[in-house]
Amino acid sequence: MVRFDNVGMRYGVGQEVLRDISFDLPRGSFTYLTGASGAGKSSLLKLMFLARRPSRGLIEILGRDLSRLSRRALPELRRQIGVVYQDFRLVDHMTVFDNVALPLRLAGAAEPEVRAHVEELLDWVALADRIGATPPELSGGEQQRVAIARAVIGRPRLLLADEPTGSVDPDMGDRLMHLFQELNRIGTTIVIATHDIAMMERHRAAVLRLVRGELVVARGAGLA
Amino acid sequence: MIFRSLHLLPRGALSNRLVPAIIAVMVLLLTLAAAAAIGIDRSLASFQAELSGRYTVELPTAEAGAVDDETVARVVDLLAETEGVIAAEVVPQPTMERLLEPWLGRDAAMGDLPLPVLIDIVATPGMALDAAALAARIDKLVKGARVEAAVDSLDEIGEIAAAIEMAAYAVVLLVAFCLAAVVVFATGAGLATHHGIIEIVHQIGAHDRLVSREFERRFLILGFAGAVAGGAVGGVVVYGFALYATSLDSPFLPAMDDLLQALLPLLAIPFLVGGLTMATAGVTVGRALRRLT
Repeated sequence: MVRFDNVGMRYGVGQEVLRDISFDLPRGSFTYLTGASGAGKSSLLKLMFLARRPSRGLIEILGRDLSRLSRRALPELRRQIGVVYQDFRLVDHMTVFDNVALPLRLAGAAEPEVRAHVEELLDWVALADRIGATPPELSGGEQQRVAIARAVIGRPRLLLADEPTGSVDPDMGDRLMHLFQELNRIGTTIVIATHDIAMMERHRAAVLRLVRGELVVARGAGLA
Repeated sequence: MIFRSLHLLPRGALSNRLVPAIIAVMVLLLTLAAAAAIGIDRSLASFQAELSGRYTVELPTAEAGAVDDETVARVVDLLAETEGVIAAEVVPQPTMERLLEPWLGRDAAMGDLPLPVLIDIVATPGMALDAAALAARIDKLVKGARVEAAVDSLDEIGEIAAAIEMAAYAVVLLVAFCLAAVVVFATGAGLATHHGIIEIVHQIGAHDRLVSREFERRFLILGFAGAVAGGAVGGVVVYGFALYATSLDSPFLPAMDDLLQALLPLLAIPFLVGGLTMATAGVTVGRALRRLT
């Protein structure tokens, strides 16, 4: 599902921020990606959601070798990957509804189908009453839930989340984790970058731990 | 398809008044330059049409009255019998005097001057006379007779007019280039302003074409609106010139109907400019998107 083989990555001509990263996440796995600030978690996620190319090594995402993938084929692959950004990256001039609907509309879904799915999901993340609001009118926690809803609306095969519960209260954090687990149960492979040790204890899963750009721990069910 | 939008860009994005205003001014210049080129072309054509088929026979005289009326009448008869000649008329003395008045003055004693005898010939439309052969035949009656096609006198004017016409079309191209440069600049600014949105939709899986279309759509509207405004002002100015030109009632200027018909293609300018701005924006955005992973 996600395979890194001896991957290195650098920005420009700087030093490598990731070195010799190798792991294999099987289909349907649930993995935490952890490490101190600056350890390379965000860079690793960028490689996984195809925002960057590695400077060396082999990466396979959803069975596709990225080194052999044409730029033209990337959008289709990206539509199978849901991403929750740490800074949410919502489109400020769009309503909550339109933000969440964006992946479905980009995929060409019919409008009645879009409406039904978005309304159901917004209800699930307790934002049904904020459907017409724009992101600047929302609290940080509400924005985070919109970002999560947008990431999962297309039933992605791979879900990547960068500190997805960092801005919500513990109850909502648990509720969102249950949403991720539900998605995981129906086959979505999930990778969550987090510092939240308590959450990792409450919802146990495999762990990838980075220290200064190197993978020092890969433990848990299914990890290779 | 081009009008279907996901509204990826905020309402009013890229549509500050400066871009359409610049486009309007550019289109005004473009319209005037194109109209000038067309106007010169039609005027020259009209001038040529007026003079084609007209020839002048010049019978030189060493002293005043050297060619007698009988000889002149024989030359006129010879011309009248020539194939392709519809009419041959001696230019009357008052007409000669009127033509020479600017150089010799009103009170000059024309009768004392050795003025040549001029005979105007009108040839059958579309038929060119062999001026040299005709001159040779007349030469047997009057030594040194010359035959000139009136249209020959247009050669130099035609070359100058063609050069001006080329210059006007060069201005059209230059303005079109500047227009494209303005759009490239405005698109670049739009890309920089909305880079965050573009990056998000790109990451969610939008094809480059979809993002480009958003910009193309906006610039089509901006370009068309600016071009209509500039074209409308240009149209009024050009129509004013056309009215003035036709009021001169010169046989060498085209008729109003002909001129307006020749200027009709200018109506396509707003559409062409809209298309140009749209295409330029699309190419600019496409190139910028290709720099994203």
